[in-house]
Amino acid sequence: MTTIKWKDLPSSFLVTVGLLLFLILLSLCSNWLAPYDPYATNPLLTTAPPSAEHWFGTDIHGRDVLSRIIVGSKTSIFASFALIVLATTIGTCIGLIGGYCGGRIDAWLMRVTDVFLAFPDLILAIAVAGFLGGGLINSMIALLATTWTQYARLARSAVMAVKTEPYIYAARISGCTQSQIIFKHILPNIFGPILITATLHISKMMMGLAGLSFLGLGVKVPEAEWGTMISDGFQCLQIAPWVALLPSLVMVMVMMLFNLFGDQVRDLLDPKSKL
Amino acid sequence: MKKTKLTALLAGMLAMGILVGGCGGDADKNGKVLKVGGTVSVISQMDPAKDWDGWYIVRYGVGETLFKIDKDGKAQPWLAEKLENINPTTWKLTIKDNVTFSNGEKMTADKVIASLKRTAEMNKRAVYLQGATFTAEGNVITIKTEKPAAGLMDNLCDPYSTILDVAGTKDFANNPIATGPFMMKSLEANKKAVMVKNPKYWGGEVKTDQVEYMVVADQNMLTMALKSGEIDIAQDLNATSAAALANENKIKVETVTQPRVTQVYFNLEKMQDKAVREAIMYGIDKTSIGANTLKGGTVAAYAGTPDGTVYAASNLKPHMFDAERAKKVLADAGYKDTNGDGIVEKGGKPLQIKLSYYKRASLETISTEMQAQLKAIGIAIEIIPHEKANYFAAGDYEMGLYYVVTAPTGELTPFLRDNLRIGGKANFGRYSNPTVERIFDELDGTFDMDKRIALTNQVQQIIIDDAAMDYIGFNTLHVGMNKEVTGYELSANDYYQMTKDTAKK
Repeated sequence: MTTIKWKDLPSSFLVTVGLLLFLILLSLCSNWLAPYDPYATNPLLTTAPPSAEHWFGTDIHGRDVLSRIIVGSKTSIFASFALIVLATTIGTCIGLIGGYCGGRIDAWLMRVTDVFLAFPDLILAIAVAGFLGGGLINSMIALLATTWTQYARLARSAVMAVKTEPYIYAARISGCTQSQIIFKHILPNIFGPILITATLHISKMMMGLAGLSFLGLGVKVPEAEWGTMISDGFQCLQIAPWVALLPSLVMVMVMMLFNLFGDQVRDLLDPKSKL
Repeated sequence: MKKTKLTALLAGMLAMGILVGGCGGDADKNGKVLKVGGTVSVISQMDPAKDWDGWYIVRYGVGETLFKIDKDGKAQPWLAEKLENINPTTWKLTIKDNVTFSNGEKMTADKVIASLKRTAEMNKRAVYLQGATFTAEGNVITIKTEKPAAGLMDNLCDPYSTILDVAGTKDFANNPIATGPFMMKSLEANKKAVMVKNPKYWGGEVKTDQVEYMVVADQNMLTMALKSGEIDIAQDLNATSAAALANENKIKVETVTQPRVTQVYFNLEKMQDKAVREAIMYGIDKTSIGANTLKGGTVAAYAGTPDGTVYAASNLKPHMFDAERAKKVLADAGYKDTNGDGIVEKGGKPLQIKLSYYKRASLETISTEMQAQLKAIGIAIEIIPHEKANYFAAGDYEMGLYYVVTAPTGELTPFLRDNLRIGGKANFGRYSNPTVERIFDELDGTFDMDKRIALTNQVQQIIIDDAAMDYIGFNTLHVGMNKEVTGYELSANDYYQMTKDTAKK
């Protein structure tokens, strides 16, 4: 595995990474950065347009939209991160074990994966979230149920390609245990495509979480989360469009940033693109 | 190159043809069509005797009742001429002579009796009709009730008593035969209902040929459908949507204040501490919710009917909004905030209550605002959204919001009876109080109106003192319609909508 030298990386990638780190820092400090209490209602100032006091205006309960967007970033971004980490871990483990062991274990694991894959993503997520009841944890479980399968399949096919390589035989002959072979020799070599898929998936997870919240299955009232904010803003779309549109705009921009990051990681790790 | 240009041209012409052909078909085929849209405009079936479903057959102009409630809340003759009380258990009902059902059959006394008996059998709310005996002589029906029934008129005005030709109806759920200016043509449960003109209507010429009611999912779609002309009338608009339509040239918005209220149910089996319920009643700023959060959509409700009526809050001693008093009530009951998180605790447990609401009107907005207000007095509210209000009957809630018309026939008594009597159809709070039971028994035998009002207000005060339930606000009904529409009835109880004169110029 090649070690990365920071000065060798293209500057566009460094800019993207910089922006992402800034975003993450922003969401970590969101509670201090928000100008107003995101949950304090103000019945006298409902659906106020953007002004000097409220840069992004207020929603139907008089809550400051900018504060809710800032605080909501923590939920949206970190929940998506957590989801991706979990999905990647679970999926990769299952794919690794199935691909390496082969035979009946592989067949069994793949049939389980097939069952999950048979359902359309969003329908399965809605069904699981609806069954478990709403709330952030339950909607994360629901989205996890639809996402891990991709990593399982990806890991499995990568493992099957790699396990016939000579260095794997060499490792076996030199006395490595199964787990050593899997985690020290196979995993580092298949990690590239998995990482790329994961980074590109972050925005999809954000969208999924927002979607479930929009449908009322996500975070509980009055949590600030971008999907819920868009859903709430929908009812006053005609008289106060900023309530739904501004969170949507912020969400689109953040998702684009993550997608850009994913594209750049893929370009960096994909040997063919260097030609 | 020429061939692709020719193909494109032909394709374009074909598309244009289809587009033009697809528009305006209705108007030619079905004569004058009126389209009505709303979030709850169509239900699953049309049999008026079932539960509260009778509202729809009357709204659609398909069914009529013996008496109709006027703008002052008084019963006026409709299919009947008059109702006379002979003694506490005997009444003489005189029906009109010229009424026919939509199938041509004359509405005779026997047919009216058959319809009322069917209602009595099927609907628990028709308390005075149950067990009653009916005898007919010409156009006069003598009704003998089991027990003294001073409130009989209410039973005859409620839509569950829509007069049907029981013998002549084959399909009660989709096409009940009644006396109104329209007849059912088709029903797509919970989606769309189509009615056509009744050519044999006894009340005169019906102006519109076809009426279509459809369910439109949300407020945005409702206002856009009205603006685009897809519908001619948009029902149950909220204050925000009405404001959005205020400046439209072709649209007018009519309003009426209703005795329709957002009711707060306390599940008395789960919320047993009266101090908590009292604190909640003191802690909700109903005026602010109505004037600010809902932008004038509701008027603060401290009693069962609005100010200026005989059952209004001015006759009672309600728990008016007082956040400091709410905090004191909780403190006196032993609730203290020991860990500084803003929520009070007792016995180590924080005071957390689940507030359930269902998708109707502004209940979601009201819940969120209530959550913020109650947090300020130290109560943590967890909001539980539901699609429908079925959590009430199952008792699967702690605090629940409901949306209900309290005095549709002018009297508040039936509403309170359904809510508070043991076994009452709407007694979702599981309230039981022997004093209140005795008063309701007394009411059945009280024919003097002033005394009835005094007894009803006595019940209202008891439930305030017991902290048994509460109200949030009286709704202002907003109906948006095309300026060309006339004759659409706007009634405070929302029973009456389509009439023979409803038309679009």
